[in-house]
Amino acid sequence: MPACILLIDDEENVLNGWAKALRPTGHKLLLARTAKAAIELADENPVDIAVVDFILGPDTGVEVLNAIRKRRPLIRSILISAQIDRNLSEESVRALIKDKVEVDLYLHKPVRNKELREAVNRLLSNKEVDWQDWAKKVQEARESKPEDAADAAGRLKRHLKKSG
Amino acid sequence: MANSKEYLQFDVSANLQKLVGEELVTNEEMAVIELVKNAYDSGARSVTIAVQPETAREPAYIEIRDDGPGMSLEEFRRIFMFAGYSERDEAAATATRVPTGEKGIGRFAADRLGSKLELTTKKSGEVDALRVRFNWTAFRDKKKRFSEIKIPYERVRRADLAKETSGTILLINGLRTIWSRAKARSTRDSIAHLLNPFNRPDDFNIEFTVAGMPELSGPVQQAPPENQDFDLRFRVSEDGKSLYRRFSTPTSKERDWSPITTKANLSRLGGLRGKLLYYISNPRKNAKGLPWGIQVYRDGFRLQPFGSPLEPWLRLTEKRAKRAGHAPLVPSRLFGFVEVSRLNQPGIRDITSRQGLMETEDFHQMIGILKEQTDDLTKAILEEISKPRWRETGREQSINIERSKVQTLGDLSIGISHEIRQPLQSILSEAGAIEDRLDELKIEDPQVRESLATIDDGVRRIDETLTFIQEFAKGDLDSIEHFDLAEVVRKTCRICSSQAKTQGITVNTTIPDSQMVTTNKNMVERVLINILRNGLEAIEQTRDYGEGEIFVRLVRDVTEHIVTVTDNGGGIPKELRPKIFTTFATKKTGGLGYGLSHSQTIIKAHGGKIAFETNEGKGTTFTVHLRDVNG
Repeated sequence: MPACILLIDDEENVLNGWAKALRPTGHKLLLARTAKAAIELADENPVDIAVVDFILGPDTGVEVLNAIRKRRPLIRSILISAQIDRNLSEESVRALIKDKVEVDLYLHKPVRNKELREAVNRLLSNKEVDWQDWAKKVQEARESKPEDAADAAGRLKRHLKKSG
Repeated sequence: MANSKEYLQFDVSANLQKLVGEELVTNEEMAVIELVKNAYDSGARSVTIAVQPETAREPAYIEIRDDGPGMSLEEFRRIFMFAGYSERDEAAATATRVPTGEKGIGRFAADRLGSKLELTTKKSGEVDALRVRFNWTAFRDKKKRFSEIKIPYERVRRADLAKETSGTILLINGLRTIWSRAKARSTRDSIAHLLNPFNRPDDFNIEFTVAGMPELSGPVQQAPPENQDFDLRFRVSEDGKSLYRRFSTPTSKERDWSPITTKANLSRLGGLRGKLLYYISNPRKNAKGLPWGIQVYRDGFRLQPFGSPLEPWLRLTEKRAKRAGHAPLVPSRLFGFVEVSRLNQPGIRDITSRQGLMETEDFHQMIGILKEQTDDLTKAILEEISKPRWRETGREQSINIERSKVQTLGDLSIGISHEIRQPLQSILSEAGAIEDRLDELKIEDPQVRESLATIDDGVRRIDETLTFIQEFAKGDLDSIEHFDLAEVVRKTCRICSSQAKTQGITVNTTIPDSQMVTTNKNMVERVLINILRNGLEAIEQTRDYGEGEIFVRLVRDVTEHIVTVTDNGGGIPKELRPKIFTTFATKKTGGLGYGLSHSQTIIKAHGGKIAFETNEGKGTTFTVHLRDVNG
C-alpha cells in the first residue's frame, strides 16, 4: 500500500527535487512551502512521513514537526539540515530534536535521491511496530517526568531494534 | 478701474494629483508608510499589507487592509474626494489617538505604488460595501480640470466584510516597479522602524506578508536596543520651563533626574523627551537591526527623514571627520530616540518628499537641545575611553584583530552555507532524477553515467569544503571553560591514531596526567586535530609504510601551556615557509591551504600563537602556545 509523504522546504526547486527523488517509490507525495501549508496538509491527509528542512523561513523544522505531531502523534519524520547556524553542529541539532520531538532520521543537506529513498524505506519497513504502544510510552514519559521525554527517542530505537 | 463685483477663481489641473501623489512621495516605502499611517489615523487596530510579486500565473498587486471604521458614500465624498483636506486638524485635540497625518494627501500615495487603485470600504452595520476604482492615468491629462475626472463607484457585497465588521481595503494594481526580495525586505524594515520601539502604541498591529517569501512575512515588530554603554535621557517639563536629565556611563550610574541648563528656548517644547544610547564598540546584535543616528518620533511614529543615515541633520558625521583617527563619537554607534507630540510641538513635522526638513522655530530649538546633549555625550565618551581600562595594549589589540577575523568568517560561512547548499540540493536531486529516468527506460550509457558520477563528486567536494570552513568558524569565541588540557591532547591523539595505524605510523606521547587550563576547549581540539592531520599527511607523502613517527608532547611554562607535534615527514619547502600561515598556501592537492592559517588566527584570538621548525627531508615540529585567557 502506498504511503503518504509530506515534503516541507521553503524553496520550490528543493521541494521539486525531493519529489522527483521519491516519485519512483509510488508513494503519495504532498508538498508544502510554509509551516502553515504543511500543518494544513497534515490536518487533511493521513501523513505517514514528514520530510522537513531544519530552516523553514521564520520557523524551524523542529517547530513545524512539533505542530504536526500534535495532530498526528504517530508520524515518522526525516529532518534535513544545511547547517546554517555556525553554533549549531549536527550533534547539537540532534540534541535539540531529542528534547523536543522524536525525529526518526536526520540527513545532511544536500541529500542524494537514493539516500532519501532509503531513509523513507527504512522508516516504512518498521511499520509493523506497535506504534500505539510506543506513543503511550512517550505520553507517560511526558506526564510523569517531562525531562525524561527525550529518552522516548532512545526507547523507540531499542523498541525498533527488538522488533527488527 | 477695478470693479468689485467681478472675481477671478483659481482652478487646478488634473495633473496636480501626479505632482502630489507621485512626486511628493519619495519612494515606494514611503508610500506604504503613508497608507499605514492613514489606517492608524482612521482608528484601525490592525493593518495588513500583502504584496504579491508577479508570477507566471498572476500579475503583481499590493493589498492594504485595515479594520478601521470605514466610510459611507457621504463621508467618502466629503473627505476622500476633497484633495488636500483633512479633518484631522480639528480631530487632533479630542481624538484618543493623535493623528499622524494632517496634509490630506496621504490617499494619493497609492499612485506611487501602482497605476490603479480599487478601494473597498464599509461601515459597521451596513450590508454593502462601497467600491471605488481609481485609474490614476486619467489624471495625467494636464488640460483637464481636477473636477472633470470621473471616478466610477458601485455597491458590492463581500464575504470578507460581514455586516457587523468594518474596514477599508486598498487593492493596488499595475505596480510601478518589480517587488524583488530586496525591496520587500527594505520595506519591511522601514515599517518596523516606523514605530518607536520604546513606546509603541499597544493598540495597533501591523502585518506584512509577501507571497513566496515566508521569511519576510508575519507581524512587524521591532525590539528596542539593549546593553548600551552610555545612556543619556532628557525631558522638557510639561510647562516648558525646565530641562531634566539622567545620564549613565559605564562607570557612573545616575538614578535620579536632575535639572540642567540649556540655551534653547523650551517654551514650545513642553513634554519633549529623548534618549541617546551609545556603544563603545560595534553594537552588533544589541542594536536589534535599528538604523543608527537620532530618530524623531511624533506620537509614536517616526518622522522622515530625521535621523536617516544619509541625512546629516545633526552633522554628526562631520564631527567625526574633524577628529579623524581619534573619533570619540562614532555616529554608527549612536542610537537616539526623540519623542515629540503633535499637540505640543506642531512645528516639528515630517515631509513626504526628499526636499529637506521643515525648518521651523520649534525645530531649531529642538536641534539646540540635541546639540548640547550630543556634545555632553561626546565629552563623556572621550573621558571614558581615555581611562586606562579602554586603552588597549599591543597584545590586546592583536587579539581583537584576530577575533574580528574569526567573527567575519563565521558570519560569512552562515550565509555561504545556506545559499550554496540549497542549489547543491537541486543539482543533486536533478542529477539523481536523470539517473532514475535512465533506469526507468532501461538505458545503460557509460558516458552519461560517468558525467553523473562527476557531478556527484563535484557536489560532494563543495559540500565537504563548506563543512570544513564551518567547522573552523563555528563555536562561540567567548565560550571559555576550565578543563584538563592533558585529557584533550590524549583524546586528539586517540582520534588520529586510527588513521595513523592504517598508514603504519606510530604515535608517541609525553603527556602529564593532568594539566588544567582556562580557554576555549573547542578551539584547542580543532587546532590540534588539524596539526596532527597535517603531520600524518606529510609522512604519508614521503615515508614508506612503517617508517612514519609522530611525537606529541605537552609541557607547562610559567605563563604558557605548550603542545609540540613533531613528525618525520618531508619538512616544509623553503619557498613555502614564509607563507605557511597564509590562506591558500599549500602544496597538497585537494587541500584548501586553509587549516593552518585559520588555526593561527583562532589561537591568536585567544592570546596564544603557533610556531614551527622544519628541516627539509627530516620533518617538522609545530609548537602551539596557549595561555590562560584570564592570565
